[in-house]
Amino acid sequence: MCSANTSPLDPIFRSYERQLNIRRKVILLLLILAPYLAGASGFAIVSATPDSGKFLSNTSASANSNKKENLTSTFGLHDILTFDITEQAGKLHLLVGGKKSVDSKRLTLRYLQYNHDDKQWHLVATLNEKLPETIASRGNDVQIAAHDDRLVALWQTKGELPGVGSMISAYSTDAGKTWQRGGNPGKHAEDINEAYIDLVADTKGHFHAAWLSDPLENGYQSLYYSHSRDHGKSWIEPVLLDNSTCACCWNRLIRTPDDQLFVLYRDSQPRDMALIQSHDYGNSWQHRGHVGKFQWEFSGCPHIGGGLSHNGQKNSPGLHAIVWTGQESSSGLHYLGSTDNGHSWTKIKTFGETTLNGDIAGRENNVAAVWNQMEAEGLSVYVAKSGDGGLTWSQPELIAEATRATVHPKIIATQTGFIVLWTENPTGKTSQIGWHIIE
Amino acid sequence: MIGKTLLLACSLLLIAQQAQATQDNQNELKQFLPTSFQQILDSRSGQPLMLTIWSKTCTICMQKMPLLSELKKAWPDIYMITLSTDDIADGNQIREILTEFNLDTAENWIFADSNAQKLRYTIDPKWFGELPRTYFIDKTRQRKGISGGLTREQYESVFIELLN
Repeated sequence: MCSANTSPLDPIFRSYERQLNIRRKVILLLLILAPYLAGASGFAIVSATPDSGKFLSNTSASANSNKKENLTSTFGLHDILTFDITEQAGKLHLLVGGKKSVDSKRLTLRYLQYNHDDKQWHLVATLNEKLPETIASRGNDVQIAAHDDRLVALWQTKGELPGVGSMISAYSTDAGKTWQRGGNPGKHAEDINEAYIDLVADTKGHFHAAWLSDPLENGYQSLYYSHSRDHGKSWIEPVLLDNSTCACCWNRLIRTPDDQLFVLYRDSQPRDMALIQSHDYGNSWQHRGHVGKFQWEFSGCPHIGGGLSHNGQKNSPGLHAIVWTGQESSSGLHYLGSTDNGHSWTKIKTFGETTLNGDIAGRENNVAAVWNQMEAEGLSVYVAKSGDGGLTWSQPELIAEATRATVHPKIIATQTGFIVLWTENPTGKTSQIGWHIIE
Repeated sequence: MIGKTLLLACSLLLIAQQAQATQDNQNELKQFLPTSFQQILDSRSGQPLMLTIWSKTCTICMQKMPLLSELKKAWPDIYMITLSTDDIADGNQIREILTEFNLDTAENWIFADSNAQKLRYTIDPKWFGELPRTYFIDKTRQRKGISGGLTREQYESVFIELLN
């Protein structure tokens, strides 16, 4: 019998309401627990807003389950196509370039800093929304250097002709929060090609750049240098370091703790790696010959530069180099060490005839080399370490499998060890950055 | 009368279609995937092949384009194939370059997998990616890979070997 305030459907409604309440509670519980559940499964939710926030990382399984897992991220971008990383006074600075969306026509450049406490990259700023776009790519990457709160970035811009463009600099005086356009170190017209750039800051806060260009239209590339004494706002007239170089291989410019400068670049004839040095803040330069005398004669584009590092100790003449040759009898990567500031080199280790894209970093007696290994499924990333200044080396260790389709690993020394970064393109995903910390 | 007109119209249509097909072939840029190299080897049975791998970013490659065009004309018994390692998104530009150098009538391919190493490996596990890279493939499909720009004399001395 129904009362005045009930209906025959009430029991059904009450049952439904109970179920609904239960469902609401479950949903609420799941929302509260979601971040923890995601973390446990190996993924973290990206919480970044377009121009602020931090980027939590995805983890990926390492080839060796006993080793630390690799980390990956797109930093809120789609298809990372270029990056550079530098370390100064314990801080890690990362400049990445990728598309904002699938349909974007130009690359967006983002500047991030690494926080050692939460082990995350924090987005500080987007650089180039009002600056000329870049055509940088892996092997011809954007560049960043830092001195305290002063930062400078360099990149090749898009010119009239495909694949051709001049350099542009951007600088920040507030730790990367805001950026302004600086002068062009090359000081050339926009249709002059300036590429394969490298950039460092010295202890005085001067910024030094080296790049390849052919401003005289000789039909071949030359190595140029310039520096800025006002944190990137203006640059001195470019200095010609070598009239004839390889057309398409990246250069490595480094600075020692006592502000000596070295540039490792690929020569034209022979196509071996060559070294040039300055001990007076770039005012004068001395050629130091070839690093690894392979006598490789080649008329073409290897697209492979080298890696160069100092051991990080003041007044120490120790240098480390990892160089690649296509010379048939010795093809692949080789480690060479110098104990006299690059005047002479000893070939100590060969990494194998299917190795390429090497980079190297040193801190005191610890040295680490990274490279790509050619495999059927793609390029993998390997690392080898030395604890005695490069005299002996560990067995190579796989840190990213070939199926991740990695390219061009970079390594720098940190205050606690080393960090390795690369771009990877696993099947079904767009290009992202992977990194591995060695402590 | 009507019949003749109809016949004429059909003939003209057929000619136009043929011309279009030739035009399409000339501009065709095939997508190079992991199975493509085997496809190339399996094609043109009994005819020597020359595979030229290049990129628009490779200065020497671009400098050698006119020579390749001349060789294609002068040595019709060597079947010429080109393979661009550029991004497939640059396909129109690659077609323009090939047309500019009268190489659009060669068999032309472009890398179509973002994992370039995987594609390189199918061609040659020991090729690092340096350009230009040329493969001379004989009638039995034995092949020799050479890196770097070649002179006319170097090309022609290999052609003579391939045709003997």
